[in-house]
Amino acid sequence: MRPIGAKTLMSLMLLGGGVALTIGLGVLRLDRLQHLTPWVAFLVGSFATLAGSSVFSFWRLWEKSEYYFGTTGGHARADSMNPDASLMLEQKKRRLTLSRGGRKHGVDLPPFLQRAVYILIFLGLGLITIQNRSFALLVDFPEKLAKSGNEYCEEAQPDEDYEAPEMQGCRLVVRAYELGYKKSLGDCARKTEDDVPEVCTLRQHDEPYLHYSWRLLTARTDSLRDIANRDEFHKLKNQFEQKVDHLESLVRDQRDTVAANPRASHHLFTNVRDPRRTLTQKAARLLSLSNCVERYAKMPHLAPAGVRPDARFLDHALGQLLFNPTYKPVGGHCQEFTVHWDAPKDACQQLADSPEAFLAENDALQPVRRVLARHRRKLELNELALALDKLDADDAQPHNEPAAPERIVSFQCFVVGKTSTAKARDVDVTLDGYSFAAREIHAQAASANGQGQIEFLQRLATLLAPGFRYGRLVSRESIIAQQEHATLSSQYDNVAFSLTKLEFLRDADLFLGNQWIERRSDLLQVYPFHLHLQSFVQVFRRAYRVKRGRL
Amino acid sequence: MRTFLLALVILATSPTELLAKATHKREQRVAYIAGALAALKRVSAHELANTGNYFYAMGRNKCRSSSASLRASCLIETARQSCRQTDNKKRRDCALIADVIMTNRLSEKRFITTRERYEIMKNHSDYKKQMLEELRRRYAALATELAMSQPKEMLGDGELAAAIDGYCLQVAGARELSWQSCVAAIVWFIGTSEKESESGS
Repeated sequence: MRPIGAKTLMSLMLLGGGVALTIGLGVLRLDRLQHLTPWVAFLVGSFATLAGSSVFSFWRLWEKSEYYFGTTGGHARADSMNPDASLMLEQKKRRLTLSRGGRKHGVDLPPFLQRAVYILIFLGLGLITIQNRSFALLVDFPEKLAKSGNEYCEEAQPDEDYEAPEMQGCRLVVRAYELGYKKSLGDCARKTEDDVPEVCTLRQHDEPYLHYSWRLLTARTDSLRDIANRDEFHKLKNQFEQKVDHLESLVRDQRDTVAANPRASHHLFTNVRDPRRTLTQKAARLLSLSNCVERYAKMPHLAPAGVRPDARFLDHALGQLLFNPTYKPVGGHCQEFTVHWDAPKDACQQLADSPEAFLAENDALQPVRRVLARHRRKLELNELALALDKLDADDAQPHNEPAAPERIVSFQCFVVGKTSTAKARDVDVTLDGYSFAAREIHAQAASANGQGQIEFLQRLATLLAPGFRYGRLVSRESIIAQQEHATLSSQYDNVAFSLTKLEFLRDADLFLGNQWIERRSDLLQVYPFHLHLQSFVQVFRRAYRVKRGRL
Repeated sequence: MRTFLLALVILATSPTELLAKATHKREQRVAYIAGALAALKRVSAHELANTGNYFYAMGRNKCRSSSASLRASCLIETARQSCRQTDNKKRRDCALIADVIMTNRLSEKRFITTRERYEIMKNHSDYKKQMLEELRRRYAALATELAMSQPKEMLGDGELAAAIDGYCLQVAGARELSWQSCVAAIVWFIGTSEKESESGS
């Protein structure tokens, strides 16, 4: 077989790749080609012709190749290979060689075919990249670029106030004011209760760009002239000096805002074993692959039963009470809430005895200190703002006091064991001069079949929200009708009227007794959680937001 | 020894579930929905209209209450007495159809709010007919969502009940709509649509 030129081989390979790509992407489908607009078809054709011809010219593809690929082998002897050839590949007596020169011996595509091949390659590239939509975007681009950064006045509406004969001449005056030719409306100022001329100073729709630029420039020089007077200058100088004195706090505050640093630090210590104990789960948590916001976004009403129920139920209860966005408003931000698994049962006592050491041991000291530092900065900047307001009473802004430290930092201990307590115990904790009350509660261990979840929710709610109470008055259970549990549960002993009977569950709030429903996994599937769980969570969040918050 | 340990594990994990009778497991729900659909197919349009009017009247008069439980128990008792008067063959169908009608009656306010009801009463002289038409439109919307959310092969006769159950479990709670309200609405719409097309109305 005669050797094939490198240029020809490259052309054929590129053509083959291009054809495969266009077929694979479905670009050559007849319906797609039929839907191309004439301009797109013209653009693609022009692009293909120009680009293909340019490549043909600049790469000198009309010339024969200098290098040739050939094969030898079979029964041919090894020493019969062209002495100028380089051996590239050899397998089972077949050799692939690359030789230089010998233009008389090699095969190359004739120039017109080479050009046609490259035009076809660029035609395929054009069909892939240029579509009707991308063409329309390209056409609109200059207009969008011109409009970017400009805001236009709204289209003028017929103005009733200026329809009266004595006011008709004012239309011209208003137009002149909008275009900057007059400094005030004079007698034509609208006689409204506020007596404020409602004139738009943005760019008019028919206003040339240069004219608009000139208006902006003159407005800016007028405002600078106002600043240049002595009193205004001194005021600005004092404001600047005040801000320089607090420069570090200002910079750190901006950095905190831009980096979205935590604005609270709430910690829950529990003796329950960490549910994410496999290497994959730990790695995912470390790399933040499992986003807590996404995890809590679509939660079932109750956690499914299975192994290690305590950890799953606690995590699920926490998500439902605080983070599930289905019930609005959200109680907290999951990035600002840390659960410390495998904590000792007397975690709260240890925290009270030596807070710094205990928090440091559990990697909680730095996050707490960062939030407290941010709180101090907020206080400092508040004072700065008040001082600046005194200098410029006209420009005074309303200021909110930052939330108190005990609202933005909290410690809780959830101890799972054989007994449970209805009320939480408070333990005093002092850290860096701040006083906090760590709360501790005990809950009974859950069982693998799903029972105990409701108790976890109730205990956790009591722990997290001091003062939280849930009773019949806030429940969506009817106050009038209350069936005894035995009577109610006997309704579900047979399948008769299976649909209507479920209405009784609207008056059987799981969070107010009715534990018999927890033992019926079939009823839990059709239980009206949207009533009772929603009610419970919303009452909890109302109580939680009174005591806990963020900066 | 192995058997003893196995029995111990089973009893330890779910002692009360073994004793408690389940009535709303998935297979039971699907069978019930299929039974309701079949019952609606079998009954004539005239009988269906009469049953509907009867329960509508009962809901407004004898079984009127602000408590959903009391209304439900009154309607169930009324239905039991009413169906007892039918012959044995039709008694089960009577109970199934009554269940669907009662559930729809009890969940009307979840489909049409009080404000919308007031607007209908204000703007139409025959508001009862208008209310029923509006309810039908809402049921149709649910049925359409079901049809769009399931593959076509799931909507055949054999799989329709399972599709309704699965869909309503997903929807339940997401829109303040309970599972039984969703099921009753879709079952009623499918059952009566065929009757409407048969009668040409």
